[in-house]
Amino acid sequence: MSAIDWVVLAATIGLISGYGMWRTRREQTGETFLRGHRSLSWPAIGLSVMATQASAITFLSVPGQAYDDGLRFVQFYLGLPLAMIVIAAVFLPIYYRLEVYTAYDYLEKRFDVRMRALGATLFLISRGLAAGITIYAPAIILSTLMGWSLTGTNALIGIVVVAYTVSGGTDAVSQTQKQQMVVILLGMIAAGVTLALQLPEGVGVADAAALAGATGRMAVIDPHFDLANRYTLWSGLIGGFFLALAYFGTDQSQVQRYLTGRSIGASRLGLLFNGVFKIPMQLGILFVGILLFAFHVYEPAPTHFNPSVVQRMEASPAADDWARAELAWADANAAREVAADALVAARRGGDVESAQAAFVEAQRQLDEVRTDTETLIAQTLPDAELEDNDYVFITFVVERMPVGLVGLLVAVILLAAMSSTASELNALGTTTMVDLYERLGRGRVDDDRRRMLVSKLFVVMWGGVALAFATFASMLDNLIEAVNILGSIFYGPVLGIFLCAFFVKRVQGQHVLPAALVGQAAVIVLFFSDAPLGFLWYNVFGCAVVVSLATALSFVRPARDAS
Amino acid sequence: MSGSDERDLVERSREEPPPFLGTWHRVYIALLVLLAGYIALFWFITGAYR
Repeated sequence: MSAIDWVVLAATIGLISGYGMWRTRREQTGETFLRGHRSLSWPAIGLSVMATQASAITFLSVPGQAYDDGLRFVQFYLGLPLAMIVIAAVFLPIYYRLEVYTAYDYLEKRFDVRMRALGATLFLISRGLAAGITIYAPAIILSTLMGWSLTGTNALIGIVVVAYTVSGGTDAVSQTQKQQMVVILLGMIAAGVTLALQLPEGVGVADAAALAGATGRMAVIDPHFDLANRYTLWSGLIGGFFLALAYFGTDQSQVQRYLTGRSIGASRLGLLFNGVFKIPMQLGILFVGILLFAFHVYEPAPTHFNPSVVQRMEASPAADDWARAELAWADANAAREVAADALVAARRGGDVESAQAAFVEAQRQLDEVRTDTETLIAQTLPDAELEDNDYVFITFVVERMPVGLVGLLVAVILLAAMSSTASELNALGTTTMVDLYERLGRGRVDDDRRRMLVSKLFVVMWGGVALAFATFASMLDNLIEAVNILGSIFYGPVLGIFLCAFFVKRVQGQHVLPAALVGQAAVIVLFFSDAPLGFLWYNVFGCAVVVSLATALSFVRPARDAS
Repeated sequence: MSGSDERDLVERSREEPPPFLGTWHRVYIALLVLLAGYIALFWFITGAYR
């Protein structure tokens, strides 16, 4: 990175962090550290909710996902607006009326303290591990840029985020997320415009979409009902609905964001704002990946986007085989470029069908070379990460973005990491403090200074857990999928508990506790089995097991008899 | 809970109409219509590039 990029990076992060500190300069108490001042307007809540979900993974991994697999990933978000409506209409009024600190606080009010502890524990496990992945994602960038060790970079980012969260608490996280989202969106627009401008002369955005479309990458909707297919209209609408309902309705990292609203109406509008803008935002980020695909049709991609894998292959005993693979890769790329030129020309007047068929064949041959290359890497470096989608976008940013914009884009990714990880650590600390330490331990801490200190210590503790898991994240293939698969393993049973609480009056704690334990075990068994089921369906499955089993138990052993 | 805390809770929990479309039900329906619009747009894009 150039000196200008470093200045842009430091100024962007420094200004936003400084603004957060200035806005939260009022004396902090244990109460405001945990809950904030509860004065946010609806646009601030909407942006805060979006910023919490949009981690660095979104900006690193999603363009790479579209580069490799097209736009169909956006179906994942189709259930989100439906979930926002249910949360705004049903969950939110209950949370407000009962004045809960955490979502799990409600479970005690509805069931008993055991259910509160179980809900909080499932949240702590899933979110603690997910926080590790959200720390790891930006560590890839800095380690690639600076040549630092990945472990050391993980530690550096983790320490910075923990310090930021501990210094500001809930208020600082919420206050700065508006500015962070604005910078993030501007940065992604700049990346898209730069990509469009770097396409060859005579190749426009419509041509780029046509090239991607010929390979199936513009197929946004898949209407087939196929349980094994991860992204279809139905997995998005049904599985995505359950996932979004669980994430936004029961995950404290999100509940804590919208409960800081100045009124129930502000929180409601903030959630619906997310329902309106999330899908177009994700489609826009995915389209950056489509432009990347077209860009690399004319500017051949490296044989593998992860530079450390390339370096290791070049230094390995299979270096000669690797050199031959690189030659085959270059030839296949050249053939595809010729076919692309023909297709773009045909679109201006010619036989589009034949040109398209030739381009598809060239892409197929390129994919074959790619598969052979991956086989060679797997045989030579059994421990190497084969998937390189997470490196696609950052490679473009570092190598092709103009001076100044590189710094802005790196700032975007770091800000996204800060906003989501800070929300997560803040929620993890709050839940540990309120739901476990105070409720199951010594009771509410009366000394306010001590209360704040203990809460901050829990934030630091969870920062350590997240960092420990971050060191294992390099073993995961695709970060955006990994974080959603992890969530889907735990969210179904947790959502089942909450749906019983909201909608099945006859179910009590004694029914839902065994049902939740069985449901969680069933999802874990399903995950480790070879069952052909896309991960979004885990949410539906886990939820269905808990609701049906708890309801059945309530008939077998009604609450009145049991008591 | 003190008196002012209780007033604050009542104030924050009070149902109020949305700033547009009159009722919350209409806002929810508008969001459903928008979702249907997104799906229709995606269907069109998929068909156009098939």
